[in-house]
Amino acid sequence: MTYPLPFLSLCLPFAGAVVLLAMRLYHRLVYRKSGEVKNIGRVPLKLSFLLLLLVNMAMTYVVWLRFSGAGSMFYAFGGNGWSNTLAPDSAVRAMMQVDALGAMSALVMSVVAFIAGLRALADKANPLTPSKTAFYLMTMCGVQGIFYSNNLLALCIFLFISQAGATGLYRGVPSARSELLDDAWYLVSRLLAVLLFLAGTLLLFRSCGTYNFAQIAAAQLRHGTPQLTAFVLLSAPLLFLFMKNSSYVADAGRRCFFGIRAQAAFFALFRVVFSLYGPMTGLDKIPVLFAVFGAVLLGYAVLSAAGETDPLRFAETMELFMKGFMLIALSIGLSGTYSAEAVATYGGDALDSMIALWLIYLPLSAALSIICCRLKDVVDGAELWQISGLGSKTPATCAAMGLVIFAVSGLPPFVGYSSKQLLFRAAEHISSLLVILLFVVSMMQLLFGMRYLVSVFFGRASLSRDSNGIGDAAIALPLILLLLLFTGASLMPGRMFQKFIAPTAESLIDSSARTGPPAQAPAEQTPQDAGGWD
Amino acid sequence: MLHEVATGFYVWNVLSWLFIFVITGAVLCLAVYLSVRTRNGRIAHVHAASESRGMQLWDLEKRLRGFRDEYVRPCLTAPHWHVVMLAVIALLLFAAVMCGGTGF
Repeated sequence: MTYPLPFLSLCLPFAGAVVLLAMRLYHRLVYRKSGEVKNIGRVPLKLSFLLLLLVNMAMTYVVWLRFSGAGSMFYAFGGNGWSNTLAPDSAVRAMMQVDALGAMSALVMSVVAFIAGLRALADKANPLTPSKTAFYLMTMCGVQGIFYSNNLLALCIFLFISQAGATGLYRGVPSARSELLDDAWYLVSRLLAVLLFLAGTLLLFRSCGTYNFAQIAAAQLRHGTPQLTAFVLLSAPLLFLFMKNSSYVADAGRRCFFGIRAQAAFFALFRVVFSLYGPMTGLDKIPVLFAVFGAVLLGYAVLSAAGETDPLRFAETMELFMKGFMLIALSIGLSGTYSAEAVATYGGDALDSMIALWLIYLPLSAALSIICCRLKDVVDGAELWQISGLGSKTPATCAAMGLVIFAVSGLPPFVGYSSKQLLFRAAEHISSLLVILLFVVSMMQLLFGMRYLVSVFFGRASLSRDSNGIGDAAIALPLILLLLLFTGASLMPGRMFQKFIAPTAESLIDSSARTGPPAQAPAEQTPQDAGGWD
Repeated sequence: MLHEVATGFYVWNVLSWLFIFVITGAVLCLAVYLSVRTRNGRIAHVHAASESRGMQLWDLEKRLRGFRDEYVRPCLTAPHWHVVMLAVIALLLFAAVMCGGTGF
């Protein structure tokens, strides 16, 4: 008998979201009939939200701990309850499978969701409402499901759930037709993305007869238009959701959750791409195309940083830089994974770099969101970033911003350094010009970041007027938690790579390197060799 | 990487990269100083940072900013941009897979 912790960690936020939305619906109906306004108490709402986030974090931590000792785990529900062993004649299919990649991603996501939740609870300018809480929980459930999914259909379902949550966070529940029409293009694009992914899933199922990633990776796919079309239909929505995640919102909690969603989209992207790139012929131009996408993002980031003064635009620019580097690392990793020589020379480094960049993207994006949204707060008719010499009043925020900028730019010895160095090393095997380009862009990122830091926080202080409401206290707790993560990772890079990056990269190579026919199920399958079940 | 992290190579790597960063960083600091000094010297009050002319390092950046604000950002913030972007990504991917193995 196994306790299905991953399953429970999905059910809990989903149930919370459904209950809250149902209550909202009920209250709306009651209001229409009687005109009486009934609201859920703010304190119970906040307490239950905090409790759900805490429990979810604890569960993902236990799942990650279990995984580190037991290898890949799957969970099936049969006549005898939950189990992680299956008989060969069993009609039961595993509901989910957790590997190094999924367990670690879910843990990082739940920690950042908890920190974002703390910020959302303390945000007076954007108070927590029942609907917003429900959409936070729904997004969290969807993203966690993406991390624990082991097949395309489940991925599609959780993609839809996370999109529903993110859409709700973006605009809330539309109360009038005009609101719906205003967001028509946004809604159409998101719906189209999910539908394209579903079409790709079904098309690939027709070719392979399975939704399971491991079985798809093991299948020798023919070179044909349906398979290639399926690849396009699966990858395009994920790339779109990764590249176009952030909206111009001055709410740190929502911004953090958009970051969580972008990270999940990239996770799904490299899971799909690594499963298909090996067995499917005709994808030899894909790494180059991903590199082009990365270069476009970097170019746009440079353009976007030119003379930018708005904090939210600045945060978006820094995220664009990170995304560009991640796509280029993905393209190098992809081209260097399918031959032994390439793996030994640069493929492994590129994959390590990609995972490390992807791993630090979320905490850094969350820290940037929290700081930059704080800079948009209005005090005495002016936004905080418009007051020169802000650093004298908010030294901790200034230090945190500095640390984030150094880490994002890959300045040694901060946490982003190892990933950038590995990327430069891997890129050297592709072209020296590429290394120079990446290094120059890194330096430009550092330049823009430092300039923004100095222009907002340093200089002659103009705080002779009453400065009530300016200080570090508002964002102290979430920032301290995030900075503890950065400090730990910066002080112990070896441990970080050993515990987090290396198993994840190995898991990715393992899942993508199966090129033989699908294995027959043994008499009693153990968690370690259960890769082929769905 | 693990091997290097476990041994003293990591320290040398950090130092060598730090050296490169320090040289480039010195140039950067000068650039940052030059770009910010103007702003703080001229306007040191509320709305200071919104006066963005002090944030320009050189004329090229000013032109880039003008180009971005006039042409790029209006396109990227237009409502239909979401659908256009999805379509462009899908078309590029489709073109790439169709060219795969054909010599193009």
